[in-house]
Amino acid sequence: MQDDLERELIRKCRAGKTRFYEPLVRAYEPSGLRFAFALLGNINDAQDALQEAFIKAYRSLPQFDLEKSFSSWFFQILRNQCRDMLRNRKSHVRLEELNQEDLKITANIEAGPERDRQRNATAEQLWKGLRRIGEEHREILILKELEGFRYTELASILNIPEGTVASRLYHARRALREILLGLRVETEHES
Amino acid sequence: MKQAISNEDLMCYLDDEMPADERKEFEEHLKLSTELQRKLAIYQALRTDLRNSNFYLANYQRSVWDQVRSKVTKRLGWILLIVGWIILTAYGVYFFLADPEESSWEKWGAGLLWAGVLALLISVIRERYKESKTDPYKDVLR
Repeated sequence: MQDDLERELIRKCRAGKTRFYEPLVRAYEPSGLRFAFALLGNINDAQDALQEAFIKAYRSLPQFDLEKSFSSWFFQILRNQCRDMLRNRKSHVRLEELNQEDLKITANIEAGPERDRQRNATAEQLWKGLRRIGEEHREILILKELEGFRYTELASILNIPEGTVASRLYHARRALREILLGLRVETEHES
Repeated sequence: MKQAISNEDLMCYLDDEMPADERKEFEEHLKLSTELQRKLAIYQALRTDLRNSNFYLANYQRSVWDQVRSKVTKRLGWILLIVGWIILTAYGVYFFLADPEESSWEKWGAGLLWAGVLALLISVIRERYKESKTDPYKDVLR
Protein backbone atom coordinates (compact mmCIF):
# COMPACT_ATOMS: atom_id res chain seq x y z
CA MET A 1 0.00 0.00 0.00
CA GLN A 2 1.24 3.52 -0.78
CA ASP A 3 2.58 5.54 2.12
CA ASP A 4 0.37 8.56 1.38
CA LEU A 5 -2.74 6.44 1.28
CA GLU A 6 -1.75 4.73 4.52
CA ARG A 7 -1.19 8.05 6.23
CA GLU A 8 -4.60 9.28 5.08
CA LEU A 9 -6.28 6.12 6.37
CA ILE A 10 -4.48 6.46 9.71
CA ARG A 11 -5.57 10.09 10.04
CA LYS A 12 -9.20 9.05 9.48
CA CYS A 13 -8.89 6.22 12.02
CA ARG A 14 -7.47 8.66 14.54
CA ALA A 15 -10.54 10.82 13.99
CA GLY A 16 -12.63 7.86 15.16
CA LYS A 17 -13.72 6.53 11.75
CA THR A 18 -13.18 2.84 12.39
CA ARG A 19 -14.18 1.70 8.91
CA PHE A 20 -11.01 3.23 7.45
CA TYR A 21 -8.98 0.66 9.39
CA GLU A 22 -10.34 -2.18 7.24
CA PRO A 23 -8.09 -1.56 4.17
CA LEU A 24 -5.05 -1.56 6.45
CA VAL A 25 -6.11 -4.83 8.09
CA ARG A 26 -6.79 -6.46 4.73
CA ALA A 27 -3.49 -5.22 3.25
CA TYR A 28 -1.31 -6.55 6.07
CA GLU A 29 -3.28 -9.68 6.90
CA PRO A 30 -1.64 -12.20 4.51
CA SER A 31 1.95 -11.19 5.24
CA GLY A 32 1.27 -10.77 8.97
CA LEU A 33 -0.33 -14.18 9.18
CA ARG A 34 2.55 -15.83 7.35
CA PHE A 35 5.03 -14.20 9.73
CA ALA A 36 3.02 -15.13 12.84
CA PHE A 37 2.66 -18.69 11.55
CA ALA A 38 6.41 -18.95 11.02
CA LEU A 39 7.00 -17.89 14.61
CA LEU A 40 4.16 -19.71 16.38
CA GLY A 41 3.82 -22.84 14.31
CA ASN A 42 0.05 -23.22 14.02
CA ILE A 43 -2.68 -21.32 12.30
CA ASN A 44 -4.98 -20.77 15.29
CA ASP A 45 -2.28 -19.15 17.39
CA ALA A 46 -1.14 -17.15 14.36
CA GLN A 47 -4.67 -15.81 13.85
CA ASP A 48 -5.02 -14.91 17.55
CA ALA A 49 -1.70 -13.08 17.48
CA LEU A 50 -2.62 -11.24 14.30
CA GLN A 51 -6.02 -10.18 15.66
CA GLU A 52 -4.52 -8.96 18.92
CA ALA A 53 -1.76 -7.09 17.07
CA PHE A 54 -4.30 -5.27 14.88
CA ILE A 55 -6.32 -4.28 17.96
CA LYS A 56 -3.20 -3.05 19.80
CA ALA A 57 -2.06 -1.17 16.70
CA TYR A 58 -5.47 0.54 16.38
CA ARG A 59 -5.44 1.61 20.01
CA SER A 60 -1.89 2.94 19.66
CA LEU A 61 -2.56 4.86 16.42
CA PRO A 62 -2.67 8.23 18.27
CA GLN A 63 0.98 7.65 19.28
CA PHE A 64 2.07 6.51 15.81
CA ASP A 65 4.57 8.81 14.10
CA LEU A 66 3.13 9.55 10.65
CA GLU A 67 6.62 10.16 9.27
CA LYS A 68 7.51 6.50 9.85
CA SER A 69 6.43 3.38 8.01
CA PHE A 70 3.24 1.74 9.21
CA SER A 71 4.35 -1.69 7.99
CA SER A 72 7.49 -1.88 10.13
CA TRP A 73 5.62 -0.43 13.13
CA PHE A 74 2.85 -2.99 12.74
CA PHE A 75 5.30 -5.88 12.32
CA GLN A 76 7.07 -4.75 15.48
CA ILE A 77 3.77 -4.98 17.39
CA LEU A 78 3.00 -8.36 15.81
CA ARG A 79 6.43 -9.72 16.65
CA ASN A 80 6.07 -8.61 20.29
CA GLN A 81 2.65 -10.23 20.42
CA CYS A 82 4.04 -13.52 19.07
CA ARG A 83 6.91 -13.45 21.54
CA ASP A 84 4.51 -12.81 24.44
CA MET A 85 2.44 -15.77 23.32
CA LEU A 86 5.54 -17.96 23.07
CA ARG A 87 6.61 -16.88 26.55
CA ASN A 88 3.16 -17.71 27.94
CA ARG A 89 3.28 -21.07 26.22
CA LYS A 90 6.59 -21.53 28.11
CA SER A 91 8.20 -23.44 25.29
CA HIS A 92 9.46 -22.34 21.95
CA VAL A 93 8.16 -23.78 18.75
CA ARG A 94 9.98 -26.90 17.73
CA LEU A 95 10.19 -28.11 14.19
CA GLU A 96 7.71 -30.90 14.84
CA GLU A 97 5.16 -28.36 16.06
CA LEU A 98 4.95 -26.40 12.83
CA ASN A 99 1.87 -27.78 11.22
CA GLN A 100 2.79 -28.58 7.64
CA GLU A 101 -0.83 -29.25 6.67
CA ASP A 102 -1.71 -25.60 7.26
CA LEU A 103 0.81 -24.48 4.72
CA LYS A 104 0.74 -24.56 0.95
CA ILE A 105 4.04 -24.13 -0.78
CA THR A 106 4.37 -23.35 -4.43
CA ALA A 107 6.89 -21.70 -6.65
CA ASN A 108 6.01 -18.20 -7.84
CA ILE A 109 7.20 -18.79 -11.36
CA GLU A 110 5.31 -20.93 -13.83
CA ALA A 111 7.72 -22.73 -16.11
CA GLY A 112 6.10 -25.91 -17.37
CA PRO A 113 5.06 -28.99 -15.37
CA GLU A 114 8.53 -30.55 -14.90
CA ARG A 115 10.19 -27.26 -13.98
CA ASP A 116 7.23 -26.47 -11.69
CA ARG A 117 7.68 -29.78 -9.90
CA GLN A 118 11.34 -29.03 -9.36
CA ARG A 119 10.65 -25.57 -8.09
CA ASN A 120 7.91 -26.81 -5.76
CA ALA A 121 10.31 -29.41 -4.39
CA THR A 122 12.90 -26.67 -3.78
CA ALA A 123 10.26 -24.53 -2.05
CA GLU A 124 9.30 -27.45 0.19
CA GLN A 125 12.92 -28.07 1.11
CA LEU A 126 13.30 -24.38 1.93
CA TRP A 127 10.30 -24.45 4.26
CA LYS A 128 11.66 -27.56 5.96
CA GLY A 129 14.94 -25.71 6.40
CA LEU A 130 13.19 -22.63 7.79
CA ARG A 131 11.38 -24.84 10.31
CA ARG A 132 14.68 -26.20 11.57
CA ILE A 133 16.65 -22.99 12.06
CA GLY A 134 16.31 -20.99 15.28
CA GLU A 135 13.48 -18.54 15.90
CA GLU A 136 15.80 -15.51 15.65
CA HIS A 137 17.11 -16.66 12.27
CA ARG A 138 13.70 -17.62 10.95
CA GLU A 139 12.10 -14.28 11.76
CA ILE A 140 14.80 -12.18 10.10
CA LEU A 141 14.78 -14.35 6.96
CA ILE A 142 11.00 -14.20 6.61
CA LEU A 143 10.99 -10.44 7.11
CA LYS A 144 13.83 -9.89 4.67
CA GLU A 145 13.20 -12.38 1.90
CA LEU A 146 9.44 -12.82 1.93
CA GLU A 147 8.27 -9.42 3.16
CA GLY A 148 11.12 -7.41 1.62
CA PHE A 149 11.99 -5.10 4.51
CA ARG A 150 15.12 -2.90 4.31
CA TYR A 151 17.85 -2.99 6.97
CA THR A 152 16.60 0.13 8.79
CA GLU A 153 13.12 -1.35 9.00
CA LEU A 154 14.45 -4.71 10.15
CA ALA A 155 16.43 -2.96 12.89
CA SER A 156 13.32 -1.23 14.19
CA ILE A 157 11.09 -4.33 13.96
CA LEU A 158 13.62 -6.57 15.69
CA ASN A 159 14.73 -3.86 18.08
CA ILE A 160 18.42 -4.29 17.26
CA PRO A 161 21.09 -1.80 16.11
CA GLU A 162 21.19 -1.32 12.34
CA GLY A 163 24.78 -2.59 12.29
CA THR A 164 23.68 -5.93 13.71
CA VAL A 165 21.19 -6.64 10.91
CA ALA A 166 23.79 -7.69 8.31
CA SER A 167 25.56 -9.95 10.77
CA ARG A 168 22.32 -11.62 11.90
CA LEU A 169 21.27 -12.09 8.30
CA TYR A 170 24.59 -13.71 7.50
CA HIS A 171 24.26 -16.18 10.38
CA ALA A 172 20.64 -16.91 9.45
CA ARG A 173 21.48 -17.56 5.80
CA ARG A 174 24.47 -19.69 6.70
CA ALA A 175 22.36 -21.72 9.16
CA LEU A 176 19.67 -22.24 6.52
CA ARG A 177 22.21 -23.25 3.91
CA GLU A 178 23.83 -25.80 6.21
CA ILE A 179 20.47 -27.31 7.04
CA LEU A 180 19.52 -27.45 3.36
CA LEU A 181 22.77 -29.26 2.59
CA GLY A 182 21.95 -31.75 5.36
CA LEU A 183 18.45 -32.24 4.00
CA ARG A 184 19.82 -32.87 0.53
CA VAL A 185 22.08 -35.58 1.93
CA GLU A 186 19.10 -37.10 3.79
CA THR A 187 17.02 -37.12 0.61
CA GLU A 188 19.82 -38.72 -1.40
CA HIS A 189 20.19 -41.45 1.23
CA GLU A 190 16.44 -42.10 1.19
CA SER A 191 16.35 -42.44 -2.59
CA MET B 1 41.05 -0.18 -0.87
CA LYS B 2 39.72 -2.23 2.05
CA GLN B 3 42.02 -5.04 3.10
CA ALA B 4 39.38 -7.64 3.84
CA ILE B 5 35.75 -8.14 2.97
CA SER B 6 33.63 -9.18 5.94
CA ASN B 7 30.57 -11.40 5.84
CA GLU B 8 28.52 -8.32 6.76
CA ASP B 9 29.89 -6.51 3.68
CA LEU B 10 28.85 -9.49 1.59
CA MET B 11 25.30 -9.30 2.97
CA CYS B 12 25.06 -5.54 2.43
CA TYR B 13 26.19 -5.97 -1.18
CA LEU B 14 23.77 -8.83 -1.76
CA ASP B 15 20.85 -6.89 -0.29
CA ASP B 16 21.70 -3.67 -2.10
CA GLU B 17 22.32 -1.85 1.18
CA MET B 18 25.83 -0.66 0.37
CA PRO B 19 26.65 2.98 -0.47
CA ALA B 20 27.76 3.47 -4.10
CA ASP B 21 31.46 4.10 -3.31
CA GLU B 22 31.75 0.98 -1.12
CA ARG B 23 29.90 -1.01 -3.74
CA LYS B 24 32.49 -0.06 -6.33
CA GLU B 25 35.27 -1.08 -3.96
CA PHE B 26 33.51 -4.38 -3.25
CA GLU B 27 33.23 -5.10 -6.97
CA GLU B 28 36.97 -4.55 -7.37
CA HIS B 29 37.56 -7.20 -4.71
CA LEU B 30 35.03 -9.44 -6.36
CA LYS B 31 36.91 -9.40 -9.68
CA LEU B 32 40.06 -10.62 -7.95
CA SER B 33 38.67 -13.22 -5.56
CA THR B 34 37.14 -16.47 -6.78
CA GLU B 35 36.33 -17.37 -3.16
CA LEU B 36 34.26 -14.21 -2.80
CA GLN B 37 32.56 -14.91 -6.14
CA ARG B 38 31.70 -18.43 -4.97
CA LYS B 39 30.25 -17.20 -1.65
CA LEU B 40 28.22 -14.49 -3.36
CA ALA B 41 26.83 -16.99 -5.87
CA ILE B 42 25.74 -19.34 -3.04
CA TYR B 43 23.84 -16.63 -1.15
CA GLN B 44 22.37 -15.17 -4.33
CA ALA B 45 20.98 -18.59 -5.26
CA LEU B 46 19.54 -19.06 -1.76
CA ARG B 47 17.90 -15.65 -1.90
CA THR B 48 16.44 -16.29 -5.35
CA ASP B 49 14.99 -19.63 -4.22
CA LEU B 50 13.41 -18.02 -1.15
CA ARG B 51 11.91 -15.18 -3.16
CA ASN B 52 10.56 -17.56 -5.78
CA SER B 53 8.88 -19.72 -3.19
CA ASN B 54 5.34 -18.90 -2.34
CA PHE B 55 4.40 -19.89 1.19
CA TYR B 56 0.74 -19.31 1.86
CA LEU B 57 -1.70 -20.67 4.37
CA ALA B 58 -4.11 -23.24 3.00
CA ASN B 59 -6.82 -23.32 5.67
CA TYR B 60 -7.15 -19.60 5.96
CA GLN B 61 -10.19 -18.09 4.32
CA ARG B 62 -11.80 -15.98 7.01
CA SER B 63 -10.42 -12.49 7.60
CA VAL B 64 -9.76 -11.30 11.15
CA TRP B 65 -11.38 -7.96 10.29
CA ASP B 66 -14.78 -8.85 11.79
CA GLN B 67 -13.26 -9.69 15.17
CA VAL B 68 -10.99 -6.65 15.08
CA ARG B 69 -13.88 -4.34 14.22
CA SER B 70 -16.13 -5.73 16.92
CA LYS B 71 -13.45 -5.28 19.60
CA VAL B 72 -12.50 -1.81 18.44
CA THR B 73 -16.01 -0.42 18.05
CA LYS B 74 -17.67 -2.12 21.03
CA ARG B 75 -15.11 -0.57 23.34
CA LEU B 76 -16.01 2.90 22.11
CA GLY B 77 -19.74 2.11 22.47
CA TRP B 78 -19.28 1.02 26.08
CA ILE B 79 -17.30 4.13 26.96
CA LEU B 80 -19.98 6.41 25.47
CA LEU B 81 -22.78 4.49 27.19
CA ILE B 82 -21.12 4.61 30.61
CA VAL B 83 -20.20 8.31 30.34
CA GLY B 84 -23.77 9.19 29.27
CA TRP B 85 -25.25 7.13 32.09
CA ILE B 86 -22.99 8.75 34.71
CA ILE B 87 -23.92 12.26 33.53
CA LEU B 88 -27.67 11.57 33.56
CA THR B 89 -27.57 9.80 36.93
CA ALA B 90 -25.54 12.56 38.56
CA TYR B 91 -27.96 15.14 37.14
CA GLY B 92 -31.03 13.22 38.47
CA VAL B 93 -29.49 12.59 41.89
CA TYR B 94 -28.56 16.24 42.30
CA PHE B 95 -32.09 17.45 41.52
CA PHE B 96 -33.69 14.78 43.70
CA LEU B 97 -31.49 15.63 46.71
CA ALA B 98 -31.77 19.38 46.19
CA ASP B 99 -35.59 19.30 45.88
CA PRO B 100 -37.04 20.87 49.10
CA GLU B 101 -40.48 19.26 48.45
CA GLU B 102 -39.14 15.70 48.95
CA SER B 103 -39.02 14.52 52.57
CA SER B 104 -35.73 13.22 53.99
CA TRP B 105 -37.40 9.75 54.49
CA GLU B 106 -38.04 9.57 50.75
CA LYS B 107 -34.52 10.73 49.99
CA TRP B 108 -32.95 8.10 52.29
CA GLY B 109 -35.23 5.33 51.04
CA ALA B 110 -34.61 6.04 47.37
CA GLY B 111 -30.90 6.54 47.99
CA LEU B 112 -30.52 3.16 49.75
CA LEU B 113 -32.65 1.40 47.09
CA TRP B 114 -30.49 2.71 44.25
CA ALA B 115 -27.27 2.03 46.16
CA GLY B 116 -28.41 -1.61 46.55
CA VAL B 117 -29.29 -1.95 42.84
CA LEU B 118 -25.95 -0.41 41.90
CA ALA B 119 -23.98 -2.69 44.26
CA LEU B 120 -25.71 -5.76 42.77
CA LEU B 121 -25.08 -4.57 39.22
CA ILE B 122 -21.40 -3.94 39.91
CA SER B 123 -20.94 -7.36 41.53
CA VAL B 124 -22.56 -9.09 38.51
CA ILE B 125 -20.36 -7.14 36.07
CA ARG B 126 -17.25 -7.97 38.12
CA GLU B 127 -18.16 -11.64 38.16
CA ARG B 128 -18.76 -11.72 34.40
CA TYR B 129 -15.49 -9.89 33.77
CA LYS B 130 -13.54 -12.40 35.89
CA GLU B 131 -15.24 -15.29 34.09
CA SER B 132 -14.49 -13.85 30.66
CA LYS B 133 -10.78 -13.65 31.54
CA THR B 134 -10.59 -17.37 32.24
CA ASP B 135 -13.20 -18.63 29.77
CA PRO B 136 -11.49 -21.09 27.39
CA TYR B 137 -14.33 -20.71 24.84
CA LYS B 138 -14.38 -16.90 24.69
CA ASP B 139 -12.96 -16.82 21.14
CA VAL B 140 -15.29 -19.47 19.76
CA LEU B 141 -17.37 -17.92 17.00
CA ARG B 142 -21.13 -18.16 17.34
